[in-house]
Order: sequence, then C-alpha cells, then structure tokens
Amino acid sequence: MTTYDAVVVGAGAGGGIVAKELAAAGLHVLLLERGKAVTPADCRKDDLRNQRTSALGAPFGPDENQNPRVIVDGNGNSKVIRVRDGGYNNNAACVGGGTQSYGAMAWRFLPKDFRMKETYGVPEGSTLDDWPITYDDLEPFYQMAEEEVGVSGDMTPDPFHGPRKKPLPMPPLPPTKEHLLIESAARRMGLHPFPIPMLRNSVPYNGRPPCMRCRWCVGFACEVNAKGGTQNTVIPAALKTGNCHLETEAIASEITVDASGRPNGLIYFDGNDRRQQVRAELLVVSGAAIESARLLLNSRSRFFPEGIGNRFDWVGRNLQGHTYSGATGLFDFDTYDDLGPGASVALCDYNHGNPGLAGGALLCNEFIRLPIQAINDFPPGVRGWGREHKKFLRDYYRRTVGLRGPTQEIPVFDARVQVDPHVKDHWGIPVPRMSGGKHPHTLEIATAMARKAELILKEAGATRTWLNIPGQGLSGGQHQAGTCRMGDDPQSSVVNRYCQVHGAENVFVVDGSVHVTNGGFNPVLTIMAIAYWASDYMKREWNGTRFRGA
Amino acid sequence: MKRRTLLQSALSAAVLATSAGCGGARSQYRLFSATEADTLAALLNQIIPDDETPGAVGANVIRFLDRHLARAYVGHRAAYRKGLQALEDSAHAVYQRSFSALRFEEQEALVERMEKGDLPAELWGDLPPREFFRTVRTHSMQGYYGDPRHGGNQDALSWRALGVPHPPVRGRDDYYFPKQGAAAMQPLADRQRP
Repeated sequence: MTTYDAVVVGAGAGGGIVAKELAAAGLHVLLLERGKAVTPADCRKDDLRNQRTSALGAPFGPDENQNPRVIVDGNGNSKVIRVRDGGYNNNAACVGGGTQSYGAMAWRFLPKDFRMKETYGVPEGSTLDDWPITYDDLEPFYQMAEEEVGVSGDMTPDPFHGPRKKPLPMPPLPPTKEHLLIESAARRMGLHPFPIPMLRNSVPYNGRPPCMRCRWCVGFACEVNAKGGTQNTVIPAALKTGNCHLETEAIASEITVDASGRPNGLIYFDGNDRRQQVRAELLVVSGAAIESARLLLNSRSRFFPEGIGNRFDWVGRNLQGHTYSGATGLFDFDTYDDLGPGASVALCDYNHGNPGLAGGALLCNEFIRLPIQAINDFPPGVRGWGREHKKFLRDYYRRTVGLRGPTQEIPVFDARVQVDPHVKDHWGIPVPRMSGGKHPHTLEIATAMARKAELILKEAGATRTWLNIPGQGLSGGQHQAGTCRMGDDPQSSVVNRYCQVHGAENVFVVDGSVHVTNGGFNPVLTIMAIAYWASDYMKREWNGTRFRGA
Repeated sequence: MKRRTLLQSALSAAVLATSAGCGGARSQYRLFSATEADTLAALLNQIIPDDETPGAVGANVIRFLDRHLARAYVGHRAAYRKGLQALEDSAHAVYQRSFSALRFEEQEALVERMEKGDLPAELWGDLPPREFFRTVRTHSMQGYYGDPRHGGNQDALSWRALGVPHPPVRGRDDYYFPKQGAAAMQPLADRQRP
C-alpha cells in the first residue's frame, strides 16, 4: 500500500493551497480530485454549457449520471436529483474547483463578520456564533492569497475594510459604463463605491497575462489565464516541487482508522473505478461544504459510529450559502458596453450597521449578462413570453443594470447535509441528502438590501426598477459553507481554530465548511486565507515524519 | 412479448429505419411527427412570435429542440410527446379545431390557460399543463437566445436584434494568439479597440 505524508481530498480553492504549502515544505502529498483537469477548450465560451447555465451540460463536472443527490422539500418529500437539476447545489468538480470558472471576486471578510454573535446577539431559531479566530489572525494569510494567486483592485476608497498591511498587488481594471454610472450615483448619496477586488490580472503578473475583457467570464474557464485560480497558480507550483502527486477522477469513499482508532488513510475509487487504499499521516478534507461533510459522515467505524468528527451531531449542520438579492433598473440610454467581466463597482456601506438587521451584504453591479441570462429578469406586469417579452428584451437588453449582493445568512441548525440511507452513487457510496431552508431573518435582510440597491439605481437615473428576492429554500450552491463549523468547544463545532477535527487530530477540514458565518461577500479569498492559516499550523507541527499537533 | 407483436415491432423498426427518422416518413425531424411539429411550431410562435424580426420558428428552434431532446433534454422527451398531444386535444375540446389551425388570438388564449394550468385535466393526465408550458418556454428561449452552434438562433438573429456584437471578438483583438499557447501571449500595444 502506498504511503504519503498527507492526502488532500479536493483540488479546489482550499485543497490546492494546502497541497502546495505542504509539498513546498517537503511533505509527500497525494492530491485527489474527483473531476478532471479542464481547459478553456472544454467549455468553448458556450452560453448553454457552463457553470452558470448548464442547460446542455455541466462541463466543469461532476459527471451527470454518476453523482445523484437527494433533496428533501419543506413537506418532507425526498427526491433524487442530478447535477443539472435545481436544488443540486453544484460546485464545480475539476482541478481548481470553483476557481476555474468563478467570477473571481476577492473579498476579505470584515472584522465584524468574524464576530456576528457579539455584534448582533443570536436571532431566535439560529445557531449564529462568533468565529474562534479574528480578522487580525487571518490578515497575513489574506495577503498571501492576494499575492500568490494575484488580486487586482484598489481598496482605498472603501472605509469599511479591516486594517491591511499592504495594498493589493495589481491596480483595478479600467471602469465600465455601468461602473461610472453606479459610482457617481452612490457618491451623490454619500456612499463609498470602489472597484471590486478580483483574483484577475489587470496587468501581467506571475507569468500570466492581463484580462482581455471578454464577455465570457463568470461560469467559464479563462481563455488567456488572466483569471487566477488554484489550477494555474498553486497547483502547478505544488507539482513542480516534485513532492505532490495529483490524481484526477478519484472519488474519495471513506477515511480509514487503525486498530487504536487513529485515522490512517483513505479509500477511494480511481478513474477506472478500481478501489484504491492509501495510507497517510495527515488527512485533509477539502471537498466543499456538501462533499466534505459527506466524506466525514461516510467514515464510520466502531471508534466513530456516526462518522468522523460527528460525536455531537454537528457534521453537515448549518449549511449556508448566500441569499443574493438586489434590484434591476431600466435606463433610457445604453448602459451595455460589452466590456467583461462586467462586475466592476461595489460598496460595503450596508454590510453592517443596518438598524434592526443582523448583518447585510456588499452591493455590486452584475457580471456582463449573456442574452440567455436576461430572459427571466423582466418587470412585474410584463408577461414572460410572446410579443411583449420579445420586444422588452430587444428594447432593454442593452439598457438594463442589475445591482445585487450576497446577504450574509443567519445559520440554521436544520439546514443540513446527511448521507442518504438508500441512494448510492456510481461507486456504491451513500450520497448527500440535503434538507432545511433559510432563516426568516435572512430574507428580511435580503429584502432590505434589495431596497438599498433600488435606491441607488433610481439615483443613477433608472426609469423603472424592480426587486429580485429569492425564496425560503435551502441555500448552498457555489458559496456553500458552514457544515463543519470551526469552534473551541467540541460539543458545538466540528473543527478547532486550525481546522483540525475535534477528536481526530490528524484530520483537517479546509474549505468553506469551517466557516461559522459566511460573510456578506463571495467567500473564496477567505477559504484561501484559511487554507494558508491551517497549512501554516500543519507545517509547524510536522516533525519530518510525524504530525505532532494535538 | 408475443411472437406476433415482436414481428410487428421488428417490422415497424425496419420501416422507421428506412424513413427520414423516428419522426416518421412525412416528417423532416428525428423525433417529432409532422403533426407534432405543426402543433409545436404554433406553440413556439406564441412564445417567441414573428414581429420585426423572425421568431422561434424562423430561428429554427424546432430543429434545436429536435436535436437536444435526443441529448441533454432527453429526460423531457416523453413530456413533449404527451404535452403536444394534450395541447392538440385541448384545442379540439375548446375550439373543435386543431391547435395549429386556430387563429393567433385563439392560440394565445389557450396558451395563457395552459400557463395558468386552466385546461381540461382529463386531457393532461399526470403532466400538469403549467409544467409543460414552463419547460417549453425555457427550452425555446434557450434555442432562440442561445448560441447558434446548437442548432437554433439561426444566423444569430436574436443576438443581432438585441444588439449583441457578433461575431463576439471583443478582447481577442487585443491579443496575439501564437501557437505556443496561452503562456506566451502578449497583449498587442496601441491597437484601436473596435
């Protein structure tokens, strides 16, 4: 049986960084990824086959026929669903994970985002809590992510962000028409707009060229590698050390334990569906909130009868994503300038300090909309088909601006991932079973955010506006988080401050799963920062052959 | 299966194999029969009608659906069969005529009722009319406003009507794409943007 120092499950934002940090420190690392290594040629700027619109296929994985999931609705009825169905909560399965096809917003959470309970108290029916670590703990690691993966932007007009030791390494891209429109309106209102920080080259950086500003950004792989993800930064660096072996199409099944109950390796299925077993001193689970919880729950033994880390029934709990709400405005002049990535201007005036609300969201303009993404956004009273709909799109496709934000969700204990007792995937592994919904206060915050967005659009000159507010259903998706909560108390969390599983010291969870709360921001830079933070601890506690940390 | 049925199905399979496709000898489509294609065309013309620019039928959305019901939409195939028949039956029940033979306004009224789920339930069985409407609306929008490479949106006519620059060259003009791949790319300096 092959033995590694560390096995990392999942080559996304978190796993890619851990693999590189450990390999560079001299550990022998096996990096497993259930998807394939995709290139821009695999999605070819196809507006019906990408991570945002998967009508004709999901090119960033996972395989559509081999990976069912089960979703339970509000009435307790369960349904088997596939990758392209609503409710699947797909996160890309490929080398780079979501970072291959994301929009690449590079937000640091705000200091208060780590102190939600202290700031607001606990809304009834919620498991809202503080993180065991602070913004200041993560600051140096945010900076590492910004420099190594590469972030462009300019935070100086934003007075709300936490203290930074250094400015972003690259300047922002030049503004779009929408940017100028929103920026000037927001300034007139006394708000503080600024360019969105992006994991995207605006100038040549780290051997990769700048963004060519094409229309196919969010949901697509970047044709020129200007968008930075783990697939074109840290993972190649990990492989270059010679210490890291990347195996794709490898489906993790369970973490194994030795006779004393210490986790000692992993069982997985390789690309030819053959069962493989490896031994490792360190086991790092980085499969994103749904799959990471699933792997822990499926790792049962007499030492861990309910799964690793699940002694107190917290694994899979508090599943959250973001409740995107906002407003759309129509203008009597062209606002479309065909300049990608489109999303360009943001403001953080409403992330906190909203009277009566436990949090808020950043607001920013939308990514450039392909025609297919515009078909369902029309004002109330317009029929969604026929002459009127067709004329509406023709008149307003180039004159529509969307302003939205990811409302920080109020965690709910019953929004959860379990493993289904009956349904198994292609390899015979029990699949995730998802149930629960959003906290009512989340929707109150989201509604307030949508109204704020509407006011800005009106100030910008919109002749007509309407709100977009999502429903009560379970949240997860690309921003999935929360299922292996970080905390000091083993009875109310799954991992400790270093992402180490309580009661299984050599197992780490490094991805959005550990987020206690998910910020009013796209979470990827925080996932990356936590990956550097956890790696730093693992390296410190590595004595050359063994992991000492307890 | 009885021997006689087996023979019959073997025979009909042979007949089908020699005709244009599964749609039958009269049909130019793989999946839709000529009657189904007529009903579908009338339905598509309600969802995305002709006006100053061609609608779904003129943009070849039927071909798009015919192609993708054998691929990514395959799970909806039975619903199309059933739904088109139920729509046709509903037209007969309400107007005593074929759906495709109704006046535009009559078709529109029937589609509005389908969208609301207000059609004779016994004709629709376990397929809710609302759900069928939503499916066809979504698919036809994908065919009409999606990339022409998939068989619909002929000549990118919807994109041109919306004012989306096509072919989509923005950005690429600023780059020189040598054969060595992305890593060797350099932006072209001082080039005028289109």
